[in-house]
Amino acid sequence: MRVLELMGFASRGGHIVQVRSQFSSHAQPTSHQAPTTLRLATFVFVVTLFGIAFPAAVNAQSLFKQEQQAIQQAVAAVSSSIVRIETVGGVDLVGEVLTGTGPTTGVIVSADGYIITSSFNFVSDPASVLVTLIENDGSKNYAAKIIASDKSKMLTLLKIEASGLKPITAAVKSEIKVGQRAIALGRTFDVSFPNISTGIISALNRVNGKAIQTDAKTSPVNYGGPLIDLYGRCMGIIAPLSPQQEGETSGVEWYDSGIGFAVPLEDIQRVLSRMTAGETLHRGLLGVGFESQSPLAGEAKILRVRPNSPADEADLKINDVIIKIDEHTINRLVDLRQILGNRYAGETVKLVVKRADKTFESEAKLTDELLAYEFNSLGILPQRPAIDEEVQGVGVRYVFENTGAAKAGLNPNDQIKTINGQIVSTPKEIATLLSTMETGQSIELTVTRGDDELTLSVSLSAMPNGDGSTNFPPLTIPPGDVPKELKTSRFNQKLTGSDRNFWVFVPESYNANYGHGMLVWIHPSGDTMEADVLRSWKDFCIARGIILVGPRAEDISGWSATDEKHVKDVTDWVTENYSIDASRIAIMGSEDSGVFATRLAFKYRELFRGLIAMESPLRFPPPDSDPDSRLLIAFVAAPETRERDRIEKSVELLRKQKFPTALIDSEEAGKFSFDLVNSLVQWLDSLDQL
Amino acid sequence: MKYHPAWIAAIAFCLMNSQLARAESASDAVESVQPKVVKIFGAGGLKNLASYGTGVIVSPDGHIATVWNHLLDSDAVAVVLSDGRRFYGRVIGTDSKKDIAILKIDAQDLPFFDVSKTAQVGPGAAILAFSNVFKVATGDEPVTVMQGVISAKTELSARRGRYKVPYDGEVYLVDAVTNNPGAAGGVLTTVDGRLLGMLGRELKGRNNTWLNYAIPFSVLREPIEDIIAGRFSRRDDLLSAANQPGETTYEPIDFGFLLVPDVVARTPAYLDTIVEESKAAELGLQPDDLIVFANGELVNSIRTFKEVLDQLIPGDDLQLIVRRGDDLITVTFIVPKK
Repeated sequence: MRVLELMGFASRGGHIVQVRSQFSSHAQPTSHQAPTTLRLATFVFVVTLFGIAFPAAVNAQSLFKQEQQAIQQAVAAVSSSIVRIETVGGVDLVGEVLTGTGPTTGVIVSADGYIITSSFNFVSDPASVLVTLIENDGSKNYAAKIIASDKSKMLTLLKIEASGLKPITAAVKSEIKVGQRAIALGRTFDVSFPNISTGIISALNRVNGKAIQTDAKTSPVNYGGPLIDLYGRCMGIIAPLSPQQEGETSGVEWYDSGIGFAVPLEDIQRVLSRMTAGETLHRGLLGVGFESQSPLAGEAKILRVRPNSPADEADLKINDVIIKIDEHTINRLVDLRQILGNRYAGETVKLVVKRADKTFESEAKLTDELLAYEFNSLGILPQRPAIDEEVQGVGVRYVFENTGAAKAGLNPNDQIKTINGQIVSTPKEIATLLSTMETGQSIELTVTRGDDELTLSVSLSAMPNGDGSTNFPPLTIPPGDVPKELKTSRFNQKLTGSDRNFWVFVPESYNANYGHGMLVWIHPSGDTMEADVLRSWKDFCIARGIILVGPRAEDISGWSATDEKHVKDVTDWVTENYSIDASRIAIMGSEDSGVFATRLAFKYRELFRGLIAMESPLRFPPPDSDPDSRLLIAFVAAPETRERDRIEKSVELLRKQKFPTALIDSEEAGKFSFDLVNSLVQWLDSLDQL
Repeated sequence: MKYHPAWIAAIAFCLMNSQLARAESASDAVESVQPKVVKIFGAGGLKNLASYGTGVIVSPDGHIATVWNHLLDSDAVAVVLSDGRRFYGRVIGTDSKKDIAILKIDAQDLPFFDVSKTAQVGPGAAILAFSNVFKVATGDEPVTVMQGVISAKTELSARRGRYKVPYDGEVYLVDAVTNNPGAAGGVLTTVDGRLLGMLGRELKGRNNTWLNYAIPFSVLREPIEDIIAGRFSRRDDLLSAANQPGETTYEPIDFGFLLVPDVVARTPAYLDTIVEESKAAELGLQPDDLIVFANGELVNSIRTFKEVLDQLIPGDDLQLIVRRGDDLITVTFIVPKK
């Protein structure tokens, strides 16, 4: 039934009758449809019937030809709505991505000169934007103004001073079917005719409900251009999106991979009036947290409500289950993400919520910014029992001075059994519980001390920034049997299928029955500093049970975006082969590599719990302080250096964003002195603080 | 014996199906093209340089056209036909401007493409691409066939550096990942097997994305015919050296204006100062005007503007389009003698 696929219908549409009904529904004579294409489609249809009735009349190659013609006519019909965009000036590196200088594409959405396109085309922050329009007698250049952008779907609206333009026609979103023909267009190579890539619609409602997916090739040659159907209607605007990341350049690494995304034009038209008014659109946030981050998670049961968030104002509480948003039923957490992913700040949603046996309705006006989440703490370090040891409760290893725990009289070696009546048996459970509570809140602990059981009331304080010098003793890991095949001390290693070396230092006292800390050292450009790092850190790492890992940049002269994945793979390799405590994995960089280390810590939030940036101020805005992925940060700065001021400002900014951030002094930039490493290693040893 | 109408219908259906199958597939075209495409093995094998490639037979007497690349930097090159016969080929002529080389093998009566008969198609046209990409075919195996559509027909500008390509002219861009190691020298045809172009090198475009391009045979026809006829054996860059711009290079001051200092990789070409009573002043240029086009070329930085100036010779027109606020203003200079 190739014929049917040609017609742009889902390949499951098996019978002529069914096709006819679908066909007539498509053929409602709306004035927007491209009449030539429609006629051609009818023609193909008739020919097909004819061909079936008289087999001899089937002409070899005719189907290829007819499809080709249908595609070309659909493209010709929309050609005048597709513009070329060129930019002047701008930076040549955005993050680690080299921006191209080639032209990009946009789509006309109003007769008076509004043009929608992908924000990717302006990542270099150009000085000037120019638009080339195709008119009857050739092309014409216009100066363009950037009017507004959609930060959620990474789109930008431009305006040129023109009139009588031909806006593109939107396809009806609900009629788009998986399997239907999709044609991705750009105007980047030849001004006179769009460049074409063909494919099908691969999926709907991707990337949290923001986009449709296609296997047509999408890349900078057509980002900002339309994804059209065989009728010349625009199904969506092609944009680099990534289900895992947000940002202008995320998703670009997937270009030409058979996985491309387009934001439905119908969704864009819904908010076009807000954008033409110059409003920058942000993703709408509700302010709730859920226990599971997994895509397979079940019902949307609330673990956490952020203070003063829309959810808080809508009177949502912990353990409520959201079962409906507007007219959409929420069976699983992923449904909720898809609905909210497509909503903007400022929009109001109707919620139906189940609390115990009752359901009630509420309304929430979504926001673009939540109050930064402030981590709170008891003020203790937990004990680290052997992995196979059965313990009741969580033992206290150390109590920090002037904290809630100290004031309540908690002692080392106390065993915490319950918090507010809930039984706790691991530090992680305590951390999750604390993340649902607020600083200043008073909680009740039952602890055992020797044979006594006590009840203590602890007032939660904000998590300390970690730059006071508290000298607490190391926990000694008893020696254990190390399997022969497991290497210890310093060794070089390669990942399977890779010929890049990285080095690892595992203390000889390694014991697989205890969790170890891990520090990933990102060397500065041009110098791995391997001997230096090993010499200054080795003894401290042995004392505190920390494994050192040193990946190397592919090109030793500097880290690039392609190295990000490598560092993660190296970190994963160590976690898989050695016994690592997930709450004590940190990454450290110095000077220019501090920027790269910072980027990695912010990118792989689920992996890194600590970040040390030496002589390296923040170069880009930090992400949200996220209760689900705690990140402790330490800056190292030498006195009276050029960067000192900027580092102090970075610390201030991060503290304002509620990241627990330490500022640790060093004697001399780029040197690992005894005192400095001693402070850093204690900071690392306290990453699992509660 | 009576035939039940259902039988007749079934037979008719089978007939129809086979007809349809032919109509849907490009098998006729593939059968006719594959014997004309050869596998080439030569120099390379180091780093990312493949030691294999593809060629197309362009005469019954064993002339084979391919891309002029490192593969041919060897005394003899092995050529394997689709029927498995193996020959040693030698390079009898090259045209560096068209990025093409002709090999000759000692064979007769080969199936071949007549390069004087080529098709012309536009974006959206369905195509087939034949090449020994990634050396999948060996011995008597035919080369790999891919299908796709023409994405665009455009000009490729010659470039230097890592992704070097000497060719400067019209190409087909293909919506299929055709240009991978070993594909260079392969052939692009219509779905009915008519000759379109020769697959080129692995190349990145200005958007930092890979380009899948083929040079049309209408462009390659002349050098192929010339080399086969023995009208020249090697056409190289000696002549082009004469066309290099002379010593006179122009600076913005020659036109009566100065640009802002060129400080970053992509400093926009803003006018800084207009010399009084100069041509620029006469044409009404003002400080803070931004040059966006020069002689039709997009000026995305001062660097590109200087490249345009470098190509000027006295008496030429220099047409500038400048942006002032939201207006675009066009002015034309006549390039003065120096």
